[in-house]
Amino acid sequence: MTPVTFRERSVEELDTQKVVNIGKATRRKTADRIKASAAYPPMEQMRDRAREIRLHTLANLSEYLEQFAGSVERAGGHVYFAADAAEANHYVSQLAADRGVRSIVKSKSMVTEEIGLNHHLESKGLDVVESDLGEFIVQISGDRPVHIISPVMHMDRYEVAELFAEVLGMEYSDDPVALNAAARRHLRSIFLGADMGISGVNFGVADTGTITTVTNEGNARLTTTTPRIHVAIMGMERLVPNAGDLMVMLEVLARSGTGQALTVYTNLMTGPRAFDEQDGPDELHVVILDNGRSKALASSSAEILACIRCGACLNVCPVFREAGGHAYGSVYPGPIGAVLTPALFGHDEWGDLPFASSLCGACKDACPIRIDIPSLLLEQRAESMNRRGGEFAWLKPGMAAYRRIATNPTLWRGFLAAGGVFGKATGDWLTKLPFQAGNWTSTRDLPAPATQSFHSWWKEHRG
Amino acid sequence: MERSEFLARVGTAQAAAILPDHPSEDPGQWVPDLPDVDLVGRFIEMAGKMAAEVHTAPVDDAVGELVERYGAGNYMSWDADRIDGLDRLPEGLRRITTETPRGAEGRAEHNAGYMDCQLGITGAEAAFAETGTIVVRSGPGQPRMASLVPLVHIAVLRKDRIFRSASHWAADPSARMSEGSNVVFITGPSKTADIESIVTLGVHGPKHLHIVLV
Ligand code: SF4
Repeated sequence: MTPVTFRERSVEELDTQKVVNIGKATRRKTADRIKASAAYPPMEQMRDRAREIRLHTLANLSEYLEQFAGSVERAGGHVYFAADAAEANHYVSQLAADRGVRSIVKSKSMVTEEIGLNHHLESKGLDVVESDLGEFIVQISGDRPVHIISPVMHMDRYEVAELFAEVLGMEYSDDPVALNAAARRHLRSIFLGADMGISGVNFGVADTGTITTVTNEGNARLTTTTPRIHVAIMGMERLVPNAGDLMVMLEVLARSGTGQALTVYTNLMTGPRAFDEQDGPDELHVVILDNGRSKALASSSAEILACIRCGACLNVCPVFREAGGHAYGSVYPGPIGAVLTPALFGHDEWGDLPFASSLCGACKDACPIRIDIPSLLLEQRAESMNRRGGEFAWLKPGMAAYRRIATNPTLWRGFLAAGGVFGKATGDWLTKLPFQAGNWTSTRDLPAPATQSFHSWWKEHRG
Repeated sequence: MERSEFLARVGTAQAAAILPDHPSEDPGQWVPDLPDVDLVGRFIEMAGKMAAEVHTAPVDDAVGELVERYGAGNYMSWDADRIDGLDRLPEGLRRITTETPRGAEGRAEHNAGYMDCQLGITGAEAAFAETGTIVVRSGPGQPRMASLVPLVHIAVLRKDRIFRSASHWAADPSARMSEGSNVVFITGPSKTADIESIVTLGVHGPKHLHIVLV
């Protein structure tokens, strides 16, 4: 049987080489982020600024969306508003059919993973090739991305070497330089022949209609330049009002996501190729996607839509480090995924994800937008309990008590100081959590989660 | 979904949204407070850290030296009159045409010429000292491809166009972010760390980035 809950899936992942690789990579990424942030004195101020920009935009989203759509059209692009995945997918495949498109090249985009666009296009007989090196590896191995920024964080070079030898027919080599050279050649020929390029959008700028992609490899630039049609799929929340705001977001994103001062290629596109330009796409289509976002916006978890998908919260999360991204079963794993997934796609299927957290708060500290992820996880847990009363009802009294304490700094400090008292005071409720990550009677990993890892804790307690 | 219906749905949702405190107006133009530095010196330092090489010799000499270094092969270029201070394009090398056919016909055949290209020569209209970044804009005589497809990218930058940071540039009237269909900030050569976090240069874009100051 395929595992359906986080708990079942994580049992399959724990103790594998995969999570050892993830543990290493996430620690390195976290160190890089901290270094890059410390190297830039205005970073903290910029984070405040970024938070203000994102929240202000969400509070006025319909106005900014209308302005953005008008700006894209003025620049010569087309805009389509898609209520859900089916509408977005249909628009793209219909466009491909209308324009006689045969081959499609894609640059990395989580939103297209979210809507299952590749699968849809392939079912219509179209060739779709991922061009980000990591996503390409995911695609040819039939795997799923394990992380929103680093899709093959769980693989080592030997696995990639075997895969390339088999699929690309290259001589076996586990040298990353040779592997890269083989991928460059293979993918370049695909880029040059593709009719349509599909990208995501990191940010859309409302007053100019500019869309941005950030990549280190340059694949998003090729995707949006060599084919005659460029389709950009954008989650509807990913707007900023103007150019000044965009610069703040870009710097914050690069330092938090990959620990870089700026990503190698920060690509700003306004409309298709102009009449007097030599290259670029003939047509630009921007598909703006709701797919559960308006529902999330109308909720007490609206703040989660301020996320800029930097991945920092995944890298610091003790649960992500030990269970890996696949355990979440969602395209959005980690702390962000544990809130966003049920908020977008409902609690019937995803109601257990908010419990896949020790609420240690590392995500909130790491988040460049200072999103209060722990509180949102609690909101989502409460929602799960409301919806799935039968399953989670017994948690309620303890959860309410926990919530009062956790959202009040004084009480929280007192709770931490009191050590194991909480478990007694509230009855034993937390030891019965479906996921059991919240055994607060052993709170030694709070607030410094490293003293006892989730992994060793799990070994002691599972079962 | 109809646009009006979509926007109405978002409007209803935002009215119901429970969001933490935030400004009712867009926070507006802002530049980070950074200590004064020698912009050229800082740019050279940071670009170097990003694995770009910065040259200060006269443009034609610097470009000539690079052509010699990477030599033989095809090249792509912006029109010479679009590049500050450049008098002549490399001699003895074949220049690939970047004028791409419009429509469905002939594009793939044209693109096939990009498979192997050694050198790309462009201007850069601005730079950010703090991050070692150059700004490259598309426009007439300024194809996007020249900074993307070749193995080596040579960009010519005027020293007086170095700004402190991306925000400082955006706040300047010359920025005009939406002019030209493409503006790209380039910070070092193309790279990836997807395999075991090991940095490898020259994935899809240039493996070498040279910035010539004038
Ligand atoms: S929630 Fe914050 S830290 Fe996590 S991906 Fe989003 S912006 Fe980054």
